[in-house]
Amino acid sequence: MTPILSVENLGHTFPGPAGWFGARKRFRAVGEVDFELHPGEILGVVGESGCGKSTLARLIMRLYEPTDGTIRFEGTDITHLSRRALQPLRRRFQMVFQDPYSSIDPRQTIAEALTEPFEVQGVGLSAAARRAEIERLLALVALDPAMAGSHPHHLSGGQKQRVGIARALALGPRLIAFDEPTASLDVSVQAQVVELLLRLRRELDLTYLFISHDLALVDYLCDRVMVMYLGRVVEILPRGAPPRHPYTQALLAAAFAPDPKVRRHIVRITGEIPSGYDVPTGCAFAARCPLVEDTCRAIRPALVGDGHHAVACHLAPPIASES
Amino acid sequence: MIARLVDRLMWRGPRPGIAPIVAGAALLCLVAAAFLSPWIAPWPYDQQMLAEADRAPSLAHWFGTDEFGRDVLSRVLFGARTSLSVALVSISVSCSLGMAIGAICGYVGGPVDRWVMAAIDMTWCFPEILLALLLVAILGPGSTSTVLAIAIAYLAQFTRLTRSQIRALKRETFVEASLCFGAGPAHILLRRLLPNAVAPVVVVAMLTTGDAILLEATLGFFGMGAQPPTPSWGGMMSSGSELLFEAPWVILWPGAAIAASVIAINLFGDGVLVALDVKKRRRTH
Repeated sequence: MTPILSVENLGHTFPGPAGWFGARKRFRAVGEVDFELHPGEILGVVGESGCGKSTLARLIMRLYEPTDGTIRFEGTDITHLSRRALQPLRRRFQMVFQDPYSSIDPRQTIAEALTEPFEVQGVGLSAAARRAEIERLLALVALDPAMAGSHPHHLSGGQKQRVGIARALALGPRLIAFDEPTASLDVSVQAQVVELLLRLRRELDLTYLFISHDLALVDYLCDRVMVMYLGRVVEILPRGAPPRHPYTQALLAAAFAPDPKVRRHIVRITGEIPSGYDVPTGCAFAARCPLVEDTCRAIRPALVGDGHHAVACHLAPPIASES
Repeated sequence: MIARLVDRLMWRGPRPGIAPIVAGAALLCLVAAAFLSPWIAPWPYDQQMLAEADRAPSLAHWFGTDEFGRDVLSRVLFGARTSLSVALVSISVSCSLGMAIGAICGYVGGPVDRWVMAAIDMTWCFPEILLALLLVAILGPGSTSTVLAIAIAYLAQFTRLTRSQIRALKRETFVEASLCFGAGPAHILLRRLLPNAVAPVVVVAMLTTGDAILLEATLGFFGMGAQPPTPSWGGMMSSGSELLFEAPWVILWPGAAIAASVIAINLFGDGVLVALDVKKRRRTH
């Protein structure tokens, strides 16, 4: 099965603040990211704030120009396609953003927001087709069709996020990247949105890249989880698999699991994430790792494993011992 | 925006109070007077009646006559045409040019922004009046060069304001959403950014129109504005200043007209500022 999305050695470096004279410092946001996403799959991306999750999603959506690596969407290399060449392909991958409050232009009505994708793509819709399309999209995300005429400030956060999802669905995409879609919503609304996402995936046969820092949510929703630290993938693991990287173990230990029968080995981590302006030569996690050895500081561990479970750690037990 | 303004001025939403309404009405009268001056002025503005020079206000000449026996009321009415049209045209030119440059600089950023803004900022090194006098001295006196001079004198403030608006707006998520659909720079700028940036710029443009009237009058006073016999308020005050004690009405009426229009514009602009909720709007969405 060809992957819907395949990312190889993807990296992005932001130029630092510009001065009139002298060289800029460079900020390494994402580096050496490799993964494949198969049709129908939900891949979760987790990590602390600032670990490059959102940058990764924006790179894949080609909102930022990647500085290294390649992105293949359905076999086509889209890494450096021009805006015009990319335009028809954009119908097939879309993004839903974290902040529903600023993701819709406050001057647009909901109907205008939902038809903007067609307008940008140059799809001429008759008045009747336009109305039908708006109704279809609102029904898809279970919103009242009467909302079409209202402005975003009349809607609740959850309703706005539904509009954001409907707008991403407008052009009939195969892949949707979600950048913490539930992070700014109430817990009760979060649950509704998550159920909506699962239903949409079933009904429309979608593939999701789901960015979140909510580990319980990712565990519930995703088939595989990619753990990022300082712009790099430290582990990709299938749902429910025991974590091998000390960072993943620490993350999971920090998550709340209300089951007294599950005895967990608590890994404590201290200290701060190193800066992307000055990425360490060895393992990025070395400064905080409880198991750190000299090799970790000197040599950066590669991501090794089979198609299902891969880990970037010198000290992780070999994958073969699993199962 | 117009609907919103009418809404707010009709006491729905934040109340701007009574002053802007009165000021707005006064402005309307002023503009109407300027438009209708050929029909409502009792005398032609350039008809000289030397026998009746320097007459105090009377029933025949409500505002009196000047040193050539011309009717001051008629000249103030015709002068409104010159002063208001010069101010309006120059601010429109300045505002649209400033918005275009500011929007492009703010959106594109980088070296283009840096160098263009550095050039625009140089106009800020001079007081407006000095800059305008300099430009008129180069271009030669007359209405067209006055318009250009005033437009360039206020260009920097419109450019700066638009640029800062666009720079803030382009980081909004809805811009990323549009980019995700494949929108190009024209769509982003014209459909997403500029409509959201226009309200504060319009308010500043209104308030600046008052300053432009003053600047036009100043240039006219120095003889650098509209040339005789075309009446302008500044020019009238200039000739009236020589007769300050013999015929004070010659300088008084155009001066009052300038003061009244500047005050009216400022009060009305303040009302619009409150009504459009320019400061609060960005945060409340």
